[in-house]
Amino acid sequence: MSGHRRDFAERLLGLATLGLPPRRRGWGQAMRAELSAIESTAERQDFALSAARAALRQGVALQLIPALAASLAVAAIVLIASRWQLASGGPGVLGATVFLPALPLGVAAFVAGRRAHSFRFGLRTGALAVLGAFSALFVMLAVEGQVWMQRVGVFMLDGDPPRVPVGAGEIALDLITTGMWVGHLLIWLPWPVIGAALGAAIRRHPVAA
Amino acid sequence: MARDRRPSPQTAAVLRALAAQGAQWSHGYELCTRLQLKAGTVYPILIRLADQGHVEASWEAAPPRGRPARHLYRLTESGLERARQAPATQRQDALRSLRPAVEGPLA
Repeated sequence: MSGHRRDFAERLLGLATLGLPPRRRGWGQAMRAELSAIESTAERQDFALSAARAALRQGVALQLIPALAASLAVAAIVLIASRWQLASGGPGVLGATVFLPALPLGVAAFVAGRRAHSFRFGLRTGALAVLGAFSALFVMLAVEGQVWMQRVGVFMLDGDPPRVPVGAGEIALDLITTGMWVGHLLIWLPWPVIGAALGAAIRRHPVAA
Repeated sequence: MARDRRPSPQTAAVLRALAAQGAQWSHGYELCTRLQLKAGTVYPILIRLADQGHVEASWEAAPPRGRPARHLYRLTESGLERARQAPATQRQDALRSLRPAVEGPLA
């Protein structure tokens, strides 16, 4: 190869190895160095595609899977709490949506931090999980909020009736307009940090031969 | 609790290929081409074997000018032991079973 040209293969592998956890960065560097020794364009592309898949599994998937699982858990918590409270005539779901999501958020950061042996990696996963969980909460509240208003005529989060007639948009945006999202975030945020710290602190024992 | 899993056919192939090299170092791509396995299969195996202490990795001491140092791999003592215990891969089994038929008429 003459000079330094960044072809498709090099760019792809460079991008895929960006998300590797700190303890795997050396392997990303090793794969990129190996690519630089391959001359044939077809072989370079083949190597880069396959190595990129492996790097993504080691990096991005390690973050996305726990974050996605936490988001789905939060959606499930909201749905179950909603239907449970509706059936029992409870006063809204605020207690469940504020406190229960802390667990899956902490677990997601813990799992990623432990597998990568990295607080930063765990924290990044926790941040992704919070983002996903918040989206899940918003969507579930928007959908289930309509059901609450139709069936029992109150807002879903706190169980209060509206002072004036409200539309579907106002019900859907209840979390935002009332500022209750701030309370959710304040309670949620410490848990990914705690989870990531615990995950990074616990070292796995080496597997015996 | 310590786990002692039977290695996959691909892991067994990597172990045997490295064992065949003895104390000599191998490159990742060289292993891929020799075993006809994709990089996406070989590298996770090397990473896992290195985590388990079966593979020793090192950087090339004097890479050619204009090219970064490559990673080199060889088995540790425990890796050699693991390679001895590793079963022959399906591909090796298949080749072995084909060889008499192929070699027969030529012999």
